[in-house]
Amino acid sequence: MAEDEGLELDVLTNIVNVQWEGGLAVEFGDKDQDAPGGETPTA
Amino acid sequence: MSYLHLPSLSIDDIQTGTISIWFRFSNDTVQNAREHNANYRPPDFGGPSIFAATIPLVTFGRKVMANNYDTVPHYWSLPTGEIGATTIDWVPAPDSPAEPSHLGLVVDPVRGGLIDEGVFPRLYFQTATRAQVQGLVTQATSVTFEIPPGGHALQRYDVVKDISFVRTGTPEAFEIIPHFKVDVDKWHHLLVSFDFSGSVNVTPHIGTSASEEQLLFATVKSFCKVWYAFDDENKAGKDNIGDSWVPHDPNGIVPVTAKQAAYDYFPSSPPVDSAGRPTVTGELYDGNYSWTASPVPMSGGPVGLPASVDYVDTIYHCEQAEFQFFAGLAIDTEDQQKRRAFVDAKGKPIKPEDTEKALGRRPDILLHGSSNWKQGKNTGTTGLTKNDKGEEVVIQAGQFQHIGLIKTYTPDPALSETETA
Repeated sequence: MAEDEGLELDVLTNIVNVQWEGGLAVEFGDKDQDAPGGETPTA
Repeated sequence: MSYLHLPSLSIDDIQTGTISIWFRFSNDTVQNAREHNANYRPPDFGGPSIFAATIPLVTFGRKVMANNYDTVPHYWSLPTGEIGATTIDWVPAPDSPAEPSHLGLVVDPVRGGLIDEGVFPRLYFQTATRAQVQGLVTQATSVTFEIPPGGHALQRYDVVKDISFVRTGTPEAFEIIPHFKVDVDKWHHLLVSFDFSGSVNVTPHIGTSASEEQLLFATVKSFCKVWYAFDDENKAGKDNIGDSWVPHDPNGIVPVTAKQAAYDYFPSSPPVDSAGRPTVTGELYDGNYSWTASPVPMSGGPVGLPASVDYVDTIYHCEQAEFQFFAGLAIDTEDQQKRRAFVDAKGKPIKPEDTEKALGRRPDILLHGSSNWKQGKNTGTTGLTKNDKGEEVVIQAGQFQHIGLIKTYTPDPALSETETA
């Protein structure tokens, strides 16, 4: 699923992202941009 | 949609705090919020109050309930069957959640009954304590009739009583909606600091001849303070604090209800017409207002970026970076050195370890780097500690749940357009 792909990619690029230069920001989607397989928060 | 949700923050309730966040949003987001708001007007226009027209960036704090009331008109009939007078009764109604503390953007806010078109910052701090208001109330008791020549007189009395349930059914909040607009499609930095450790008191004012500023100096006896910088520029004073500002201090702020009491006055005699009949009934005159200093209820409450789980319907597409939250710390954003703890002279984010050096402590919440954001990894003191060997240990209860697809965004935050190109 799209979300899983996104998360896996994140893991792969983790090493790059922890570097200071680059990789500081993220974007959040709104309700019309719901990703399939979105997790449900647990208490 | 996607968001980060921390169910229960492990800190005490706070009277002071500092928040730093980078964000950006597009015109599509503004249009979506505007469209949503068309069916979601603020109370003046008959709509609900929670996040009306607001694009949240971060929400925080335990849920606070508002005590509501309904206004019930009471019609006093003449013998002819005509309505001779109308008075208002206030009847308790079911409680409802108050708006949570948040930093965000408000689209087309209503000011003084008029829509102010554009996108403005909105900084909102919800406390858990209601104010006490002693006010003068004119009340009707019965109607007596004068026949002939006709007409009627309303018997009335004026009492000073606790009208808190009408004026402050919602626990008090501090709200800033400045008059400067926020541009789309560029990075912005917001640095906010607050000190709500002082109680707020307003005393009655007799007469109405004073100017607005004279009136506020005369009636507002004590206030709280808030500091903020937007895009590394310190913001203070009437235009930047908005309706809650008091002229005693560039950073002076009181709850809006207190301002309402400050503007009102005790009439020297109740308004009557030439025949001695009351011209108004059910009228309130605010008088003594007092709000006892009370913390923002953070302990055990959720934190959400852009909003926590209860408010996900209000989330709009936005970009964020470098979030820091310091509990129990107030800084003056006029001090450039303090601003340099977050934004460097070129308009770029300061490394968190340098912020720590500058302020002498770690933040309670820190979201640093795309990877940590995407995983909801909080590396502040509530999310990360060190064991006896000096090794980093993750505090699971202090981690955010990441819901939906949170994507890496480039370019990195910077205030200068050339830096972001």
